[in-house]
Amino acid sequence: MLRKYNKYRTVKDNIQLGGLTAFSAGMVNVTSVIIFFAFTSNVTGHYAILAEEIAKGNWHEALIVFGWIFMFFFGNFFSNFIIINFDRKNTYLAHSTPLVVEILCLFAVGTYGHFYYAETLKETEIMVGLMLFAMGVQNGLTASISNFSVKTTHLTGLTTDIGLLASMFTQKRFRENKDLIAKKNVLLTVATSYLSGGIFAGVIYLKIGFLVFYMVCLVIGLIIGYEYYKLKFTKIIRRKREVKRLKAIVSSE
Amino acid sequence: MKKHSYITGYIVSFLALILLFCLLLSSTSTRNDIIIGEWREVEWKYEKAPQREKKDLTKDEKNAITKNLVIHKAEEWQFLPNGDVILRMNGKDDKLMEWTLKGRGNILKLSQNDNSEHYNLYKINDDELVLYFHTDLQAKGIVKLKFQRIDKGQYAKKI
Repeated sequence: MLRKYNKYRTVKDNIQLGGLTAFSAGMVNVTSVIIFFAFTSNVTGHYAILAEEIAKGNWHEALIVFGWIFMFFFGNFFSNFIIINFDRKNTYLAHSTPLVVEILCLFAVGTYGHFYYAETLKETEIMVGLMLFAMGVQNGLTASISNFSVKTTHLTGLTTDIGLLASMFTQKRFRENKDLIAKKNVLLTVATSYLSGGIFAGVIYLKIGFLVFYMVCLVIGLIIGYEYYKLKFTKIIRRKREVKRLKAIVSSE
Repeated sequence: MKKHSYITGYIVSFLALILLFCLLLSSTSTRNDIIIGEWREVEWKYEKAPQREKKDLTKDEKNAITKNLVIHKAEEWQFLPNGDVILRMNGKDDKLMEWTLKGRGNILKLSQNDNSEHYNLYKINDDELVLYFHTDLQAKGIVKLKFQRIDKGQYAKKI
């Protein structure tokens, strides 16, 4: 999921990464809407609200919404900055660092919310900003390493693509195109996971409140842990093969 | 060398933007501050009426809609800085609740014990406060509540 970059990625890699990150994004977005009455995994609506607040002359609210959009932008910037600067040194580390940062942000929101949140407007504004940053980081990571084929929080674009694909599949030549079938599978996985994450979060929020964010951290931690395990496993396999090859050379001599 | 100057440029731009943002933010007043004070209900009407021609609400309709709401019968609302709100009807039957703003300050939450209600804070300035809320009690629609700030001098005289 995280070790491969751009053209080296398989459809399975994109489905796994897209599915798990979209699930976590759905959880974050629904929880934030329930608690803070603000979306945190997408900014399309925030642009419209920004324009509305400016038109009404509500400068404070306009600034807050601008700040939220900036946080999402900065999350994407940060994520891609880490990837393009450190990818050649250690791909796994470069790709997992943004996810670690995302976990830290969501863990902070969950902990603060559970133990200290007094429901003031300032707290809400800051926590929504932090969550938008975290979602920007995640979206930037998935889009960057998958060569823009996976965007886990951008459901407007995703729905557009599904609509286009659905119409293309009315013709046989497109239905039999393996690339389009693969794309369809990735898109449907992301959409289903996002929705499932949202429903799951909506249900468990009623029972555990802000601790939902710990569950999100767990899902993201699963991606990092799974990749680490695969990395170690691949290394062991390679080492064994190498030893076997050397033994064969020695015995033949 | 060129790469470093680019990165420095980015850092300086981001810091300048954050500084400007903080300066502008500190110079504007929040809805949290503006809402503090006493407000009188002056208008109850459908913003989005279930039937096109009927926008005004009668007193009976108002009572039916608010029957199960915490704002039932309240005519004056006093928002206190400590997060309390006093709902009054003709100076009697005071109801003490808690208020908080959510979202970007566009959602007003009123709560008492475990019950809470949310209203859309559509507009607020020094003189006027407008709240919206959805109702589907009689028919689906959006109700608009308009308040006027009670003049401080008049309020002191009344007390």
